[in-house]
Formats: sequence, structure tokens, C-alpha cells
Amino acid sequence: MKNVWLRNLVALLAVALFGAVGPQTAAAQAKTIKLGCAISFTGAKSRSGKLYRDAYNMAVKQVNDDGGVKVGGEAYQLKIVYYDDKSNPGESSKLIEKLLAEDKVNFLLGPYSSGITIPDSLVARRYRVPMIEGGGASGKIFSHGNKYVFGTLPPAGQYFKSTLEMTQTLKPAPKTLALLYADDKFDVSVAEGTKKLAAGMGLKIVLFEKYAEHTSDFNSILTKIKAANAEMVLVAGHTEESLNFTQQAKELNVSPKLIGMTVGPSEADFRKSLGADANYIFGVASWSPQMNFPGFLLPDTQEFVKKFKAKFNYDPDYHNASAFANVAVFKDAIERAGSLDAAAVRNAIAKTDLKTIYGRVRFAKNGQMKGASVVLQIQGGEVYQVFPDGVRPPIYPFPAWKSRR
Amino acid sequence: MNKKTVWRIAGFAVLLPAALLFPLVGNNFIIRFGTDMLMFAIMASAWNIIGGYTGYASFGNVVFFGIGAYITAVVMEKAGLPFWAAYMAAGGGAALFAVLIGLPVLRLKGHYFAIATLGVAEAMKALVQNLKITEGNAGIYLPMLDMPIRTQYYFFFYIMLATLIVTLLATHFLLRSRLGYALIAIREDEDAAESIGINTTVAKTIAFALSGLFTGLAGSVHAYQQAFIKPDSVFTVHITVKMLVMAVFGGMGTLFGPLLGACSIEVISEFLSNYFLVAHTLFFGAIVILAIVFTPRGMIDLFSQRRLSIAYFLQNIREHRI
Repeated sequence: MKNVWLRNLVALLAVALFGAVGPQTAAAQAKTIKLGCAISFTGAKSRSGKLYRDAYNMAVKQVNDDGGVKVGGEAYQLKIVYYDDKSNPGESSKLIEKLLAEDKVNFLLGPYSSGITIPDSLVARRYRVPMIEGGGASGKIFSHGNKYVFGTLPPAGQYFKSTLEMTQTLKPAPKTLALLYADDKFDVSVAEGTKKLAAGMGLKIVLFEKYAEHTSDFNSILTKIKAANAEMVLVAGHTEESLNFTQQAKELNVSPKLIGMTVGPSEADFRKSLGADANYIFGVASWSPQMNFPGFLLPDTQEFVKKFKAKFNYDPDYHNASAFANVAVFKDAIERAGSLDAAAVRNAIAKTDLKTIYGRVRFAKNGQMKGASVVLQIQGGEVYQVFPDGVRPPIYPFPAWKSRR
Repeated sequence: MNKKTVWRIAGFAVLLPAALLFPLVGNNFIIRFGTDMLMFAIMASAWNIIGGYTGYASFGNVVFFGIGAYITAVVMEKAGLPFWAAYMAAGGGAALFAVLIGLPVLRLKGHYFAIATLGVAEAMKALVQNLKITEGNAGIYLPMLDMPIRTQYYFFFYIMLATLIVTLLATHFLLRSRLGYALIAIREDEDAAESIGINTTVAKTIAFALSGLFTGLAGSVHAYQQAFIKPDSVFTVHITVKMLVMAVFGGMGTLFGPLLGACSIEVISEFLSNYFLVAHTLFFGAIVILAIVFTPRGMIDLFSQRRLSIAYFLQNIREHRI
């Protein structure tokens, strides 16, 4: 009895495993351009990974529905080959090798997070195959002379530039600044860049404080902010940290005139968790759903936002838009190159000047997108772009916690 | 020559040519896959020395991997020395660290030892994240190997293979030595071992240092291959768990068990994640659980007992009272 049962189980497993092979081989018949992507389906980065996959898939479908990519008079369909990198850089770079050696993909789309992008981009460099990524902004990716990686997130060091420029328009303009940052690559670059910019604008930095990634206790830092009497507080960290910081600032009644954060305010989770306490906090983004750029695959940004929401049932943020633009840049560059040759496409990407729903995409010499971030503010539980060309004026100074209801 | 030695020589005679010829038949990815498999075989075998033979379940062996990787990065990138120097320094550094940390930590037993080693690895990660010379949490680049692509794959594969062979040979000779018997005696009953005159502190520390040495060498090659490392990725507890699962899956306290475990776990894991993009972790977990239930002495037991029947599985279940 037992034997039969076991044999059936094995047979069933075998069918389940090999059954999946069939349709894949059949679909490869049509003329296709394969884009390879090793991205997080499982592990710590899986949530962000999904943001990229959704947008990649949507963009690829749009390209294919519109007749594909035209190379030398022939139309090619785009197809993405995905693998799960388990949020692990070693695994990810191994899978890039698999994509190039076994799946023979033509080009590469990036993973999520700078720490995974770097080893992946080194494999791309080794094979001289261009990779366009929208999930890593650290300057470290572009600092090593790698000519095969192109990024569509603006340089981390410039992230708070728009916020600082906005402060010059405020009355009275804040003069002192406290800068907090997490100790990961991206945020360290943000902080160092901001420090330079602030010095250039004559702002006085009264506190420059690093904290460990995933810190949940900001009490001592908040006490220092209070002691230093900083008029403006900028936090370069992650959603969780931004959340904790805001909650504890309220508990300790720390009310500077302006609180700005890199990650958090633009996300729906942040506003939902904090409720009314999220109001008046400033955020930055390389993109916001309220912008309206004329697009390449879609007519404009608003059309993208509408379609995206209808399809995935959540508001797109800059991750999605950046990923969507990655595919758009590939289509444009391949068509301009007029061939699938990796070197030709690489050179075409470098010369990109494309209007996309994500904004105008041009790359600097090091491969990173030229661009500027916009300032957002939460007002009445919603995010509005407030600078430059805001849909609403910024509310300043920050109403003290005690004065609120 | 006893029977066991004959089997081991036969094992080497079959496996070695197969491993040597392996890169000639595959594409670049297959070679890279093989290289990773060898890397985990080294680490599982190294874990086996302290965990399997000595009976000290280290949950922090990744610390040696991370140290090896970071020593390699710093020696090559900051001091500009060639790889072979970095490789030696990585192994030596990891072994030295094992001695320093082993002296206090090896006094603990059972769960306390496991938790202490876990803590050591986390503390080391925090240290590396904050040092200037390691470029902190941002990660550090290594110089890239300047060779044609295919040659690079051969290079890393054969270095890893050579390291594995040395690891297995060292384990083999260790087991035939006085020290090897001392380790097994410690595993079976440490108090009894001490009472018959074994210097348990010295024996345990040497075992820990050997474990650290080989794990550090694996970390060194890995870092050079990746050309970029980050504290999170080389000090993650996942790597410790992986070496432990591999050693247990293949057969703890046997020479070829961890190697078999590393190969089968890597193949199963690759196979599953190839076909199930998300659910692979679920299936993988189920397989590991089934393996522990049905073959608690590891896959190697199926070979050495030469039995593969329901009766064997049932006997295992009865013996281990599951």
C-alpha cells in the first residue's frame, strides 16, 4: 500500500515539475527580444521587487500591443525572463550569469536595491551587455567606470536639492539644519550630498547624525535636535524609520519648522499608519503621480497613473514609473541602434534623450540619469507636489504638535 | 588499511575526475553553479569538523566566511596585494579569529554555545558596518579579474575545487589522528574525555580553527568572484543555516556527507526555483523536513547502508521516536 502511494506522489511531483516546461519552449518561436531580470520574489526585498515587476510587465505588454520593437523593418516582441534572486546579491549575480549563458537574453533589466544592483552590473560588464536599472540610486554603482549600467534614479547626493531650494522661497527661510541618515549606502550618499549643498546655500548644519539601519528608537537623537534648536530636520532613511521618528517626535513634542524625509511620505502605508500626524511632513521623490509629462509608450503621466491603478489596484509611485521608463528606454534605444548588437544598443542608450511618463531621460557620462527631485507635502492626508511648480503651496512653518487638535 | 579508508579512496577516485572534467562540459552558468556548490561543500564540510565531529553546533560559522571575504577585499583593494596573498591572509585571519573567539566561547555547551556564536557573527557584522577601512555598510569593490570570461570561470571553479580537496583531505587525516579521536570522544561525552586525559580545550579550539580556516578560504574566493561585497550579504545568518542544513541533510559526522548534502541541496534548490518562482521556498522546506524525518542520519546513510526501502525509513522513524 505504502509503496503505491509513494510512487503516485513521485509521479505527481514529476508532472508538476516538468509540466511547466512545455509552454515556455513553445512561446519562443515568434521573433522576440529577451530581457533578463533577476529580481526579488521572496525575501526582504520582495515587496519592492513586485513594484518593479508590475511596471516592467505593464510596459512590455504596452510595447507588444503597439506592434513591438521595430528593428531593420521587422517587428520583435519583447519578453522578460524572470528569476527570483531571493533578495541575495550572490544569488542574483549567479542568475544574471544564467540569463546570459543559458537563456541567451539580449539585454538586462535591473533588480531592486543598490546592494544587489552592483554585483549584477559587474556581470553585465563582464559580458558587455547593457543593463538598465531603476532600483539603485547609490553613486557607488556608477563610480567604478562600468560602461554597461544605466540607472534611472537620480543621484542620491542631489535628493534634497529641491527641498533646500524650496526653503529659500519660504518666509522666514530656515537657517539651521539637522540632518539624520541611516548607515546604508544610499542614505550616506544622500547625507553627504546634502551637506555640501546646504553649505553652498549658507545653511548652518547644527546636527549631522548617523543612525543604524532599522533603528526604532530615536529618543536620544530627538533630544539632541531639541537641544540644538534646529529649525529644519531632514531624515534620509526608510519607511519604518520615518514612521518611528515622526511618532516619537510627537511624543517628545519636538516641532521644528520643517520636517523633510526621503522615503515614507510618498507611500500610502506611511500616511495610513500615522493618520493626521503625517500631515505637513515634506517628502521628496524623483517623480510623483501628480506630474504630467508627455510620454513615450503612453500619451502622458496621468494616462499611466490611470491605467496602472486600473490594472494593479494601487497608486503607482516613483519605483513603478522608473521601471516603466527602463523598458521605454530599451525600446527607443534598440530602434535607434537598428540592431540587437549589444555594443550598438549600449551606445544608443548612452545617447538617449527621451520624453517618458517618468520625465525626460538623459544619462550622464557615468550612466546615471540626469534629473532633479520634486518636493511633496502631506496635506489633509493626501500627498501634493509643492515644489517646483506645486499643485498646492507648501504649508510652513510646521504647526507645533501641541497646537493641533 | 581498513574498510573505511578503502571506501574513501574509492570515493575520491570517482569524484575527483568527475569534478575536474565538470567545467569542460557546461556553459558559464553551469560552471558558476558548480563553483557555488563547491563553496557550500567547503563550508558544510568545515562546519562538520566543529558541528558534526566535535558536537558543537556553531550557529555563527558565517563569521569566518565574512572575515575571509572582507580580508580579501581589504588586502586587494586597499593594500593592492595579489589574490594569492589575500587568500592566505583570509584563511589565516579567519583561523586566528576562531582561536581568539573559541577560547571563551567553547567553554559554553549546547544551546548556550549556539547562541553565543550567533551573537559573535552579528557583532562582527556591526563592526564591519562601522569601520572606515571596510567602507562601512556601503560595501566595498574588489579589483576585477583581468582574464577572458571563460578563463575566469575556470579560475574560480578550480580554486574552489582545490580548497575543497584540501578541506576533505585535512578532515580525513584529522580523523585518523589522535586529535580526531579526541574530538569524537568530546562529542560523545566531554567529561569522560577530560577524565581520560584529553586536553579538551586545545582539541576543541583546534577543531574550531580548522573550521574557520576553510570557511574563510571559501569566503575569500567568493569575494573575488563577486568583485563587490557588503556586510549584509557576507555575514547573513542564512549562510550559516545553509551550511548546517547541508551538513545535516547529507550526513553529519561523515566525511562525504556534507559534500553530498551541499550538492543535493543546491541542485534541489536550483531546480525548484527554476520552476516555481515564489513557491520554491515552501517546497524546499517540505523536502528538508521529510529528509530529516525519514533519513535523520543523512543521505550518505542511504549509500553506506545500501538500503532504500520503506522498512529503512520506518526503522529510522522508530529509532528516533518521531
